[in-house]
Amino acid sequence: MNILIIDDQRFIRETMKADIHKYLAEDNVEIYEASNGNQGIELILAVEAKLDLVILDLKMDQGDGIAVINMLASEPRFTAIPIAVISSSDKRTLELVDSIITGLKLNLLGVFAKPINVNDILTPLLDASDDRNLAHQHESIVQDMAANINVRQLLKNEQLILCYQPKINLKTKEIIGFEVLSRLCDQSNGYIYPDVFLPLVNQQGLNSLFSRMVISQALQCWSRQPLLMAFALSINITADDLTCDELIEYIIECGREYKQIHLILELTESQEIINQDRVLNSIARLIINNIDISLDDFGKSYSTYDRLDAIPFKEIKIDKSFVSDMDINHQHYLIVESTIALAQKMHVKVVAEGVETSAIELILSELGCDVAQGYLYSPPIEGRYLIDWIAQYNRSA
Amino acid sequence: MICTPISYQSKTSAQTFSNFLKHTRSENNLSQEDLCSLLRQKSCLFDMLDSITISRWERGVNIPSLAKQSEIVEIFGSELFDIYREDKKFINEGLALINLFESTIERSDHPYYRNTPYRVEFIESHHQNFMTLLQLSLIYESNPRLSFVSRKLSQPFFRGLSLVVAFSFGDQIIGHSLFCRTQGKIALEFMNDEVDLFEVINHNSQALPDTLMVFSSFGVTPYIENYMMSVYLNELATSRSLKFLSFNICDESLKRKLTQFKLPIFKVRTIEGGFKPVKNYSFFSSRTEVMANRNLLKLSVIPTSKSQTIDPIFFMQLETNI
Repeated sequence: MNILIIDDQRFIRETMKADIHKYLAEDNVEIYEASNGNQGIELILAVEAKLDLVILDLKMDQGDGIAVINMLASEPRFTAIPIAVISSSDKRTLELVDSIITGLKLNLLGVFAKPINVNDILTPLLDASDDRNLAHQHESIVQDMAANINVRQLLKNEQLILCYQPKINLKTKEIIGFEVLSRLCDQSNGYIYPDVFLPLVNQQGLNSLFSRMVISQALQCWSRQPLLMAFALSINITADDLTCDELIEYIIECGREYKQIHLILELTESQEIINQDRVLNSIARLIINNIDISLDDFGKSYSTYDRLDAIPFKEIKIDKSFVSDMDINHQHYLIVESTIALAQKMHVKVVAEGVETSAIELILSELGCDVAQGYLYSPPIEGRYLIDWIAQYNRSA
Repeated sequence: MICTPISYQSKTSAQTFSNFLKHTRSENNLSQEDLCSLLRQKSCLFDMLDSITISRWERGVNIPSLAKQSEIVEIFGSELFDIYREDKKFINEGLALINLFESTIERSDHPYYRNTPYRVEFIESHHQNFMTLLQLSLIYESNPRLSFVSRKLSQPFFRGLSLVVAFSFGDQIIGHSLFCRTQGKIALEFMNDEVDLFEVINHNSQALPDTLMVFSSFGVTPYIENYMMSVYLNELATSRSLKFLSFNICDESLKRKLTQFKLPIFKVRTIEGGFKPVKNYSFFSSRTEVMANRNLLKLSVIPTSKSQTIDPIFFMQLETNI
């Protein structure tokens, strides 16, 4: 086993070496040392990826830990090397480093605050080497799953099923609308979820066909049930969709045909806007034709504030990753709080997604959030159960 | 190595659904055209349906996905489970998941379990050995949220908790599952760590439980693992008031198994364990999501009883007895 320790303090390197030898027999382990990042990089290049563990300090002169991390990320042959980051930085910095390394898809064992217990590092390392084969297989199962799905065929066979998740007015607890969530179904797998099939739909250039099918089925569902007309119908749309003129025409036509239905398009912002002018153009056309635009997944990407400025959104939706744990995660609480305040100042309706418990609901009410959506009210509901669900909700309210 | 005995063949026998359609049509005195317009009228999933397609379904040339089948079956007041549990061929496909069938199969090389016959029992909370068996079942369980077992608690606390244990010859425990009925709302609070296990088990709400929540499910072989799953899937399937199936687990191999079965993970949290932080996985799926999944449906149709003996090798011969 080859281990590289990069730390500027000799004392730390020596204690770690001693500790490692306590756990691993001396003749099985080769320990390399570097006293700064640059030296570490040279050593990594010299031993040519034959490392089983890199223990890395963050703050060092002449090449810090981040420099080493960036170098490891730059070459595919290094990305699999297990890394343990050790540091005396505060928790938030460590969390940031954690997310950087994870984002770079490096093999991070963990971020450990000093003083270090070597056993904490070695245990996951040794576990991981047992697990590696398993993990590998799991990944290939997931890939197989995607590979075995023929989206084109499924769409052709109309194997699209829509579910609807209610949006609740936090003040009155009334249902104000539903968001459409799509599922594909095949013979063996039951439901296939958007995280699996949307990338395939994109890859094969089926976006606008897919969106069209969703809109058509959702409007069908709404127009068949007079009771549903009272509720807004929110449908997801990507910036990519907005570059397709035929689709925009189709939506506007639908809007004219189903005048009584309050249609909202939720623009997911995780995708890059491909052609800014064209997208803005489409949005303007939709708004002129009485179709509301909502900004989905607010806070998840960097472009958020740009768009908020440029586009007259009717509503912004705070991403569920911030909402669902805001009672225990203070950073998330602050993000939600300031988003609600921003929305209020801009006179835009704000919807919190991912509300799962009454505790979160209460906090959101106190912050003045308008609308909530999440499993607390209901998981996504199949179309055929909608009427029953509404009746039951209204009874219990 | 993961090797779950799931035969990923692409199609379920078309027979069950075809027969259902033919039967329903003649019972309700409908022509293929009548059925077609009925479905178009009742559901927006069949907007483009024509009677040629119905004819193809009835002949088994092609059939809709289970999710779409369930939409049709429910229009006539049944559920997928009701029609598939009647199909012997389908039940046999289910039995194949808990069984080793092929004659070339050998007794396994597991240290204390060699594919010999085993006994599965439902252990009620007032059973005299309930506490002991609960502790033995959970001995390798890494879920800190189940550590209640080490606290000195008396049996009445566990009323409502279902423990099913598989014993090999010699009463060695070779599998178990632990689950209860609860309210979806409380299940969500449990997943968010706002209530503890006892509130899930002993929820005092007046409302009918709508959620089946599983805490632990294990078998020394993939077949026993499947059998332990079939116990609660069958309970879900036979109680229509149960609308959701939920898991809250830390067992990595069970998590892998559920993802292999294509159940989506609802939530992952990191919680403090005894020695190191562990990942806590939650699953929360609707009844339709579970039942439209072919492998889960297959497991759900395996008949269960409060106590039964299963011989993994000769199961086929015993099959008629259960």
